[in-house]
This record gives sequence, structure tokens and C-alpha cells, in this order.
Amino acid sequence: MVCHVQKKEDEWLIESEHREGEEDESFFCREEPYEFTKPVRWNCSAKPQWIQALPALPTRPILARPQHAIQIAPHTDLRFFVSIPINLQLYQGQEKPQLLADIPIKPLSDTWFGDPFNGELCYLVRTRAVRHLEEVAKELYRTLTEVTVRNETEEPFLLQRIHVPAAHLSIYATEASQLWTESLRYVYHGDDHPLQISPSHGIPSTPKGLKLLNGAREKLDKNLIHRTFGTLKMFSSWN
Amino acid sequence: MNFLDTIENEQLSQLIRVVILLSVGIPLVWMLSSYVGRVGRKRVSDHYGQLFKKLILYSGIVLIAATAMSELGFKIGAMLSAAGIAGIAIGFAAQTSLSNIISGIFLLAETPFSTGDLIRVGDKTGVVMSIDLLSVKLRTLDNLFLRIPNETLVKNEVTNVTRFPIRRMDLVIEVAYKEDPDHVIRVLKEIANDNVYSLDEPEPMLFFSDFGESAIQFKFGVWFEKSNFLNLRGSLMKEIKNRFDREGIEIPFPHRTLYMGEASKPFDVRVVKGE
Repeated sequence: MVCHVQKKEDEWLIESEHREGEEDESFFCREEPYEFTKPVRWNCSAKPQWIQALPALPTRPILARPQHAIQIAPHTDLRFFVSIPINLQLYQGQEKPQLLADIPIKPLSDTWFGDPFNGELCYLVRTRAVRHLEEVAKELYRTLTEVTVRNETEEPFLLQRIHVPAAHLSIYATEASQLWTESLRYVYHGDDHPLQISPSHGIPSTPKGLKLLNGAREKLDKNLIHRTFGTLKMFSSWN
Repeated sequence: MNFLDTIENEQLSQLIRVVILLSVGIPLVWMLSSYVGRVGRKRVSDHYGQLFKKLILYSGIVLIAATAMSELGFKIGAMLSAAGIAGIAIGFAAQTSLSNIISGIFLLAETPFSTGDLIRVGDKTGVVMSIDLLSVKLRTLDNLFLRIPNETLVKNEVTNVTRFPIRRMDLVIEVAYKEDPDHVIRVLKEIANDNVYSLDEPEPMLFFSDFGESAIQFKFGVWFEKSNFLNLRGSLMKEIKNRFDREGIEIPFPHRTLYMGEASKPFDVRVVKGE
């Protein structure tokens, strides 16, 4: 994704484009001439102004689908990592930053979580569900989420997809600029019981020395937790 | 003289009371119905907001009118009895309107659609603007105002296009007989996977459906979020054409092969030199 930003006398011009088949592996800023065709225009003061770029999680929940379904043995935990492409947020002003643009670095495909009568529109992320941190591909335009699923039943549990409440997670960064979110822990008690989800608060436990870059879009309130419990019953199978 | 004065004073005070009742009561009912409508729209839905608003407005006005009549000395009981007799006469005269009113009550009770829904009635499609006493008002997709009597909606088939959050768009894809069906299925699956509006779950429906006159046919059903119909249709059709061109998959024109039977002679074809 290429994002063009220009400050004219008293307005910002912003335009972004996704090039087909392009995988972004780096992030850099450079000055170059550009002919805007369909810019988003924002008014601002004529004085010199700051523009700030921040990573953010996508606007919808993520449905992470392992390339191969994973069986979780009874009374055991499964820990793996999910990487999610970020959005680029642009803010103007320092004291009261104003959001100018919120652009996905990579367009994500729509998917549905729930049955055809009732459910939630999500973005699909296909994940390798890597088990060990050292195997995780380090990509600047993706955040990592540590997910733990506990099977509390007497039967093996087939994990086919996982619902990540992206809007309720914050973004942290390591010194090496790797992005992280809070860890998520799911507990499965059987099909008749709601699945429990407990995003850990504060800095994720796995990497050390993380710094908060951007807070969650929405606060995780009690009602949302209950709602998520309900929808997460669909978590293991599609009927 | 005093007696006449008393009567005039009484009539005047009755009149004043009625004027006050109407001038305070009607705005009050109107404000109350608007408030309840607004709260209903915000807390429940646009449909119920309108319903509550009309319920309070109409019943409030009837109540105020009855009180005003009673204040002016009319006997409500006698009026209701007279209304019963008149009702029969009016009933015969206004059968269509009554049928629409009763149909409207059924529509409100059954709730096959609400305001804001996109519905299809016969060959007409539009967004429901309001469900009223006699008719349902629609705004068609080309921005025309359409009034459909309630009775028509009760008697005919109504499709609520936006009732469920996701929909499936079904396409029939035709390719030449020389093409490998497995190859076509693989390419169509990839097209659905790559399209951002096509839902990954539920999975697209795709199968070899028929031997057509000039082509083999595939049914291709792609699920999408209900508001993305035009985005999906526009992008998917373009992607199918582009991708088929790249893969060398032929989309055939209708064609017919003429064959002469053994008993008859072949066509007499001669090549004539152009001028």
C-alpha cells in the first residue's frame, strides 16, 4: 500500500492506493512528486503542522482460520500466534490529535461469523497458527496476538477458526518495531456452554519491554464479553 | 334577562374550555407522540418508533375530540350507538378502505418487513418508508415514490430482500464444451477467494449444473453482506471475464451446427472470387 500525503497552504491532501499482487514488507517515508487524482482533503491551519502515523487494528473483528484445523486434547492448552495486518492511521495536531485517515495496509476479505440469520461480519485472516515465537515471520505491517485455547471437556476439540475482537485490542511495539496486541485466552467447556474469552489487560506477557503505541478502538465492557460468549459458540464448526 | 345572561355565560365558558382543551391538548399529544416515536426509534427500531408515534397521536386525538364533544353537551353513548348504525352503512360504502385498514393491522402484527427494509412486490422493488393505515409507502431504487395498498401486500407474495444480514448471489457461468470442468471450478474458486466482498464463510456454492445448447453450465453462488450487492456483482463479473481471458477459458457465443443427413446431398458450396 502506498499512502501519499501533502500539505498545501491550509489543507492536507491524502490518497492511498493498493497495488495488485504487492506484498508490503517494509515501511518507509520518502519525498517524491505525486499527482493527486482523488485525494481526501482536510482543512487545517496555514501554520506548519505535525502529522502523525500510527498503526491500528482493523475496524471489524478478525476470524482467524488455521490453514489446517488443530485438535486439542482434553484438559490441555494450545498456544499459538496469529498475525493480523494493520491499518495506518494519520492524525493531525499534537494537543488534540484529529484522525484524518484510517487505511488498511492490505485489503482483507469479508467473512461471516455465525449462522446466516444472525452473526457478525468479520475480516478473514488465514493463519499458520504458529506454535513457537521463533517461527513467526517478522513483518512490520502485521501485529502478533498470542492466543491460548484451553479444552476443559473430556473429548478432543477441533479448532477450525477463532474470533479475535480486534476493535478491543491495543497495539504495543518492541524495540525492534515488532507490533503486538494483548494476549487472548479462550476456555472451551463443551458445545452447551458459552466459550469464555479473557483478553489479558495491559502489556502482553510474551515479549519484554513493550511500549503502548495505540489504544483499543473500543473499551471491552461487560456486555460485550457476554455477547462474545454467545457468538463464540459457533467457534468450532460451521453448520 | 339574567336567565339569558347565565345561559350565554355558560356557553361561553364551555367554548373557552373546549378551545383551551384543543389548543393545549393537540400540541401536547403531538409532542408526546413525537417524543415516544423518537425514543422508540432510538431504543427499539424505526418501525416501532413510527408505530408508537401513530398509536399515541391517533388515540390522543380521538380522546381529545370525545372530551371536547362531551364538553359541548353531546352524549358520547348515543353518538357511539349512532356510529354503530352508521358504521354498517359506511362499511358497505368503504369496503376497500376497511380492507386496507384490516390488512394494515395484519401487516403490523405479522411484521414481514419494517421501515428501512428493501422489499420486492411483483416487479416492484423499493425501500419501505412508512407503513400506514391504508398503504405502505416505498422509495424505489430509482428514487420514485410508490404507494402500495395494504390489501395488495397481504394478498400477494412479498420478498424481504434485506431481512437477513447476508445473501447469496447466484450466477450461471457458461464455458465452451472443450474446457476442462475441473479447471473451470478451480479458477472460479480462486476468483471467489480473492474477491474482498465475497464471504469466505459460508463457502461459495459451485457445481457443474447442465449441458447447455452451446456451453456447459456451472452454478456459482457467492455469499455477501447484504449492502455489498453492487460492489460484489460489479467486481466479480469483471474478475471472471479477466481471469477467463488470462486462463484461455472460452465463454462461447450461442452457435448452431448445421448437419445434412446421409440421404440428402451436402450443401452446394462454391468459392466465388471477389471483385
